[in-house]
Amino acid sequence: MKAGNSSIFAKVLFPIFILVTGISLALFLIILETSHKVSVKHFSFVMSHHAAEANRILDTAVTELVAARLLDNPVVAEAKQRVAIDEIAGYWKTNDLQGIILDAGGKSLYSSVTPRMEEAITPFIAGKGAFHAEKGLHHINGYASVFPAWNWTVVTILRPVKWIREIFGKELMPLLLIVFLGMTVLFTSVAVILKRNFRNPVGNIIDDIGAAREIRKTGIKELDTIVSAINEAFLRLQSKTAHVSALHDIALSLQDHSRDETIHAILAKISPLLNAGVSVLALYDDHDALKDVITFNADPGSGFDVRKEKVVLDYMHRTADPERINDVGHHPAFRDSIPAERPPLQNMVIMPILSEEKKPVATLLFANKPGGFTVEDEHLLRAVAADTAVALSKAENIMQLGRFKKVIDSSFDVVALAGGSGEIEYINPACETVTGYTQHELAGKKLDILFGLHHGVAANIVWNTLSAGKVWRGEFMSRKKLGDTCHTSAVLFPLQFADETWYALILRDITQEKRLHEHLLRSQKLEAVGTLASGIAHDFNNLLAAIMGYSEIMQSQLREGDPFFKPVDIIHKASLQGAELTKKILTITRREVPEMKPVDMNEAVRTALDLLQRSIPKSIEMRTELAAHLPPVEADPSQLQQVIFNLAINARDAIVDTGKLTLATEYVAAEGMPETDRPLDADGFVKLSISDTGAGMDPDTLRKIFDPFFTTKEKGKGTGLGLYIVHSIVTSYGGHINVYSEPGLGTRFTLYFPVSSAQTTVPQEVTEDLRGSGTILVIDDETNVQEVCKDILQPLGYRVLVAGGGSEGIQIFKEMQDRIAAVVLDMIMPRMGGSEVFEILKTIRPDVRVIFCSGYSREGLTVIQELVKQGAASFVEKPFSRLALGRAVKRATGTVSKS
Amino acid sequence: MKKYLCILMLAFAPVLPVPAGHASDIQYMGIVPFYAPEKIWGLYAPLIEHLNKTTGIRWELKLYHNHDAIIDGFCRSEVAVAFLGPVPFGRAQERCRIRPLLVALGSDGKPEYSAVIITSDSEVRALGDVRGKKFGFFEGSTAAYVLPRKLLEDEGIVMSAIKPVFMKGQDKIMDAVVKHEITAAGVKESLYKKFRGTDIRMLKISEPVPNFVFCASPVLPQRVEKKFIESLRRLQPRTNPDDRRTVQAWDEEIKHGFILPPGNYEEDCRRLTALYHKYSR
Repeated sequence: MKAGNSSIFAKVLFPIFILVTGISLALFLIILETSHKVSVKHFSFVMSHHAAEANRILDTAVTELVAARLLDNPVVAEAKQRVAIDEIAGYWKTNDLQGIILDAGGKSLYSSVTPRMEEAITPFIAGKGAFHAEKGLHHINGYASVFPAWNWTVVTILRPVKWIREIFGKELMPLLLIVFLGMTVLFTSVAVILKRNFRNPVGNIIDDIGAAREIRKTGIKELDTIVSAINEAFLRLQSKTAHVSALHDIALSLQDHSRDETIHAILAKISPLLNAGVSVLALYDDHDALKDVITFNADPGSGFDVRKEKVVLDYMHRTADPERINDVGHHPAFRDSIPAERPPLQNMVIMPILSEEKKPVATLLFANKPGGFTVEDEHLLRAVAADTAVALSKAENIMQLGRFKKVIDSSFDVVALAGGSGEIEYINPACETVTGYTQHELAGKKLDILFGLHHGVAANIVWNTLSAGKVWRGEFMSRKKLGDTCHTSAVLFPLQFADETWYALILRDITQEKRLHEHLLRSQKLEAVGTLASGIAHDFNNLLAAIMGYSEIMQSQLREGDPFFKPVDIIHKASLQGAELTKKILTITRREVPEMKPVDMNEAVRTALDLLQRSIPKSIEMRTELAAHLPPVEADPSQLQQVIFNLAINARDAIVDTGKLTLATEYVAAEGMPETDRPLDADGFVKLSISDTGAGMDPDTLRKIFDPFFTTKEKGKGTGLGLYIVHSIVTSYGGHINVYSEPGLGTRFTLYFPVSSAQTTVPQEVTEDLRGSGTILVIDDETNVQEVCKDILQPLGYRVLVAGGGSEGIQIFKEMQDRIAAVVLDMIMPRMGGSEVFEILKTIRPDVRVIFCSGYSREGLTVIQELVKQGAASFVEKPFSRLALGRAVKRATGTVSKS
Repeated sequence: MKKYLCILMLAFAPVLPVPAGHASDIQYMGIVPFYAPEKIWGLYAPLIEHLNKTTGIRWELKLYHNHDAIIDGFCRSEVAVAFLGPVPFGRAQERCRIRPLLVALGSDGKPEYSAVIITSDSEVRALGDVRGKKFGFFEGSTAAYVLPRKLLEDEGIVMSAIKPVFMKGQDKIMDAVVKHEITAAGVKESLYKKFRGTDIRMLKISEPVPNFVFCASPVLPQRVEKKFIESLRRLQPRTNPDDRRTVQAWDEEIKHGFILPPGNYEEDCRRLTALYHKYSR
């Protein structure tokens, strides 16, 4: 324990020590002075003895001289004197003395002292007798005497001693030691007595206080009085401390607990403190109706349930101010409802809990305290009520925060919060999905890490915007943890909390949207190309319709051997090839519901090859290995063409200079398929293999080839949709694709198409009579088509009227409706399309027979089917042959039966 | 003028220096202080008178209170002749060029003597019994210091084993022994013999050593030396009754006649002096 100015040591022991030391010093000085005086007397006595001995030696010398009658003999006398001096010197030496012998004239005959000492004692020599001189630290005791026979002065001197030696000399030292020991014993005794009777009891009291336990009796009346007072104060303090501790615990329990947990904790903490048997908290909703009742029974076996005591709950609800009732049985509020003899609650204290807006949100009730509740209990409850109000509010806030947190944590967008230094303080789990980094990895990192590739200047722009207190919106090309990139849309804005500025970031992965957008752009582009191609095909078909029609007419009028027969035949075949070509173009570009039908895969391959011949350079050798007698597959021929076309073009692009492109077909029984790829109800598969000897692909590329928009081609050369479409088409047929590729060796795509249960229909060459009668109205904006229709149909026995557009055709039909047997109507015309004309014609004559024709159908087959359903007779695709038109007209006019 | 000059010379005549060799020269003799001064004066004043009569030269005694004083005075030529024991002789010879003139003979006619250790304590039966007892010495003396130390050393008794008491002269020692102030001491055998018949007993006797010697200082004139030697060598007290009467009052140490120093005298003295130095360290 550090001794301060107010310690026992300072207040008691130190003064005692000073007192004892003072007494010791006084005694020491008295002893010193007394001993000094005694020693002076002692030395005087001793020195007189020594002086007497010197005189005796001289007396003896003189006596001997007198006896020898030589006293007057100067020689003998001198020798005798020298002998006597020697003898005195020897005596002095033997007795540790010093001295001076002076003759009658004061001349030194002998001296054993130093000149300084001689000077010091000179004043005392004349005085005779004992003397005491002090020279510096030395004390000199001497005795001067006169030997009268020779008139000598003999000065005997005790060897000078330093006063310190005198003090601590063997004579004085024991006395000083006794004094010192006595004082030490005295001081120690005082210290021991004080320690035993004062310091130890006080120390025990301090220890007990330090250990927060009841202070033990000391056996000292005065101290025990203090102990009793402290113990009583201690008990009161413990009670207060328990209250404060309980309130503190309640305050602590406000954190991170649900409302019910908090309330239970409060009731469980306060109930034993108040020694209450019953503890209740009634909660009210926003409409002041009872919402919930939470109880805590000190004795769970008591069976008391406040929910059954409606009168108590009502009273709690009604009570606006704290109320303490120590005799519930006789309280006016319960007199009629609770038996006074055996009330379920003997006493109670009620404490309403108000919200910050002073609105009652709950009521606390503690009841059945032995001896009843006190004012102190009420005071405690006021504090508890305040805590409870905070707890309820906080619990509500926590719940609210929990919900918000759940929303944020469940968000697919990254939500991050950074401190003023830009370091991430919070980030939701979506960060791992979007960036690849875990929350833990990003915590504490600069927010810039989420800016991806936009470090540096771009980041500065962001931070400058935020520093200006503005919101920044934009997109980042973010780099993920593994190095791949993604497009992100970001919103950053500053937040002000008290004096601190924080920054919030909401980051959304828009990679997919970006791709879809690009896909949309490409689709629109493809659509435009398709529309363009369709328009060209339409016009081309109209031209071909004239060429094909007239070449066929001419062919029918010429015989072999005629010089024009061969040219006309060539023109006719060329027109047929042209018609086939436009059909294929339309097949590729058409966007319509697949027209599923049994398709011969070999035929599909051959058709595709015809097209590919124009796209594959001669340096690439194209080979086919087509198996004979393949069963048909259920497919849309145009889509199948697209599949083959896409794969073949990819193979072409994979071959750098020269190489081989092989297309092979094969029938595979269901058992031959891999187990995982085999459909349960399949009758087997037609396998189509398209292999090349190109660059091949690495496994990483191989893994992504069917992803939309994935391409390894240069920008502008590939859409990234080719293989995606292939995969979509094949899988939509219930088929399967295997790919095998090795870098540097080539790639093989193996496509499995389920075998169709239907059979392919092979068009039969028929020779039939196309002749008919009646008036046929041809409505077509193309004059050539009008003319060829007229020239085909008139020879067949029909009267042909032509109209160059919809309005003209409708007018003619109105005028001659009763005579017109059928209408050949072009679907696509300027100003008024075929469908619109058809609708008007039906209004004129509902049973009008209309044969639609078109070189291209924007709406596709479904529209045609719909028109047929609405009453159209048939559809003839441009360029049409004499047979097709003639059959359609004859069928429409009812002159041939449907076959 | 001549008359005044003569008066002045007569007035200062007693203080004027006297040239050496003249009959008015005084020759001083020093005696080693083995006795008290008045005793030496009493015993050696007859010798001085004898020399005065026989040499035609005036002799006077000069007394010293200890050995150091006589050696010092001898070497400073305060005295022309000194009577010394063998150790003081050896010590003086170490300091200045002195010469032995005549060696005293003992009562037995030999130029040597012995030292004895004596006691008056009846409980001391042998030399070894002196351990822890008071033992008297006369510092610087051959007989009362050097030889007793040698005898004690031969007996295996070191100084720390006894209580040494230093006294001024052999007669003081004898006095102290008689009075039982000291238990034992060493003295010249001749001195001890004077106390025969008392309770003083001899505990040990030393080997004989060279006897006392008259020796000359470097300044002693040859003429005086010759006369001095002749005067004393002529005495034959052992055989001549007249001479025996002459020396009757003389000290025992010089009343038995003299001889010229034997050839090994100085060597023997130096050996004893070496012992003195050894014990004085």
